[in-house]
Amino acid sequence: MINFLIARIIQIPITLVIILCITFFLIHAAPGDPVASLAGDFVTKEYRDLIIKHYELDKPLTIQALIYFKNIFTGDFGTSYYFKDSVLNVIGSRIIPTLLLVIPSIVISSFLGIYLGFLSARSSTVLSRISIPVTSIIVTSIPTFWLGYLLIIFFSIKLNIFPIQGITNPRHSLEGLYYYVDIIFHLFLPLLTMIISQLAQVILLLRQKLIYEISLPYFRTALSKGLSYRKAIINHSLQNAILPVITVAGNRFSFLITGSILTETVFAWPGLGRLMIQAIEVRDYPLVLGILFILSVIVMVLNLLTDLVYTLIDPRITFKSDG
Amino acid sequence: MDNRHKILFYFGIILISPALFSLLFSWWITPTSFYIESHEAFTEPCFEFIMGTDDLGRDLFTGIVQGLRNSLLVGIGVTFIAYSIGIILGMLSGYFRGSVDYLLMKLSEIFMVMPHFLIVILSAAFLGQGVINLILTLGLFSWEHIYRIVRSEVLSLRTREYIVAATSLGAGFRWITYKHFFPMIMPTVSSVMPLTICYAIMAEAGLSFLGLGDPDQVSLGYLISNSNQFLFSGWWLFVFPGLFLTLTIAGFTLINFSRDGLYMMLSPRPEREAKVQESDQALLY
Repeated sequence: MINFLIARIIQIPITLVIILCITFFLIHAAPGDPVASLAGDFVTKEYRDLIIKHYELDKPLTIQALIYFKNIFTGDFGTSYYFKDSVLNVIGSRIIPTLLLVIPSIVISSFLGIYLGFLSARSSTVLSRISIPVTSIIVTSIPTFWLGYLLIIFFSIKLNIFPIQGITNPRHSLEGLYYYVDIIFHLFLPLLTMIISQLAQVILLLRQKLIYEISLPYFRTALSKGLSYRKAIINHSLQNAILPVITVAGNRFSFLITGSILTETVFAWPGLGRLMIQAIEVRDYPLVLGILFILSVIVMVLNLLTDLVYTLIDPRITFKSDG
Repeated sequence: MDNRHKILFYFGIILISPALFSLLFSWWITPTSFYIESHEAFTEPCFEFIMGTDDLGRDLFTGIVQGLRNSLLVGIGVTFIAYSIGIILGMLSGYFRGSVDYLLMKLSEIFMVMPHFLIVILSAAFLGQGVINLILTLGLFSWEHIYRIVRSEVLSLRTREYIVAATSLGAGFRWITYKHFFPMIMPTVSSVMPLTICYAIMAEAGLSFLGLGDPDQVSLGYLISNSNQFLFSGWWLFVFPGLFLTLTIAGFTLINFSRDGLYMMLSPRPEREAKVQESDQALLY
């Protein structure tokens, strides 16, 4: 277990270096020039040269990469070309909205999905064994961005309850409690989008596994010794049935980042995903690399945590470090 | 294969049939390009334009047929690349084991934790927004699941007696993989094929939605992102592309869900009969 943990923790920085190397050379080898977006279109040659020298864009790529990695090692991610501020500051101001979307959506969809899956496992007639998978698969398949617009049409345009875009109301400057209420109000639709796109999958997985567990002899024993159906499931079957849900949750994190980029674009939510698209448009190299770094770290740490939770729930699993 | 899986499987086939139909017959139904032909703008769905026209007077039906065709082409292309890489590396790793296996396994672990969509976005943004680029990057970043399946299958196959017999008769890597491993692993591996196609279609739609798709090819993601300014004035512009995209993705997911169905269709006969007997026993139990 300890060996496995150490191996996994060592793997994280190696993977990060590989990802950063690939992207560093990818974005520098590409056409498009940060100098144009830094200096504007009509500049003197001296000013251009000054900027190139200031941002060290004249050095060979490998040297630039080495300088970049050396700086990262000391915690310096460079200065954003576009925002004229340190990359960490820019990311820091945008990371909270993304986490507000991502973490509640994982938690709510997991718990709600487990509860609904538990309820749905009660009926296993022929009809429900076809209709529940079909419905949940169709709901899961709705593309995140289309789902976002559907919710906007229903909740914002037809019912006129929730705001369409943004994180706060720009017309009023609210303070104190009202400010947070306003944020939650704006959070509702994006969060709902992310939850719906994950919920059906959890329900389906848990339902399938629970129906299988119920068919096993131990469950009949539990019932015949006098446990109620509910108690028998909670005490005996749920532990087993939750395992695939957790595995899939682990695989879902990178999809979650995808989902949050698309959801943020639909709802103009000022998070990391939209910042990334913005940074790409203006060829802001340090910012792109910085965001990629942070998002990769988030995904990998969440993956590691999933594996740890997995061992806590299922003590039968032992990890071998050689895979 | 029980009846339930059969129903789900055929339902999935029905859902992807518009996409399959577009792939086969788009040259015949919609001979002109979506971008060229122009009619009156914002025509509601009527007899002449089944799905109406958009803000520039382009026929939405043409766009959807060609968009579905392109999504499916991207899916097939990505699957082809991912499977080629995955199968070759998996066989190398399972056959030679040792350090080759160790290195490839570590490589696949690294690829698994990478945030794929971010890298695809970056490569689309910086290497240029072509379909070929998109297929190549998506393919390069989705081989690791296939690699793992092939590797574990090969590891279990290589201890079988007929493989040992073939080796002792002097068969080498090429002969054994081509004659023995390949036909045996294909059914298992191809049962995850719908999922790969699904993933590629979703990624392509997402990219085009963000404006990073191929500007020369129609894409359902582009149609949706184009429609969001007309949520009030043109519901058809918004409804149809999303509906067909959802149905296609759902169809592939359903086929994957009833993966026994696909497995049965593709596996060699004796294996299939053994499996059928097994599932019959499960039903009796």
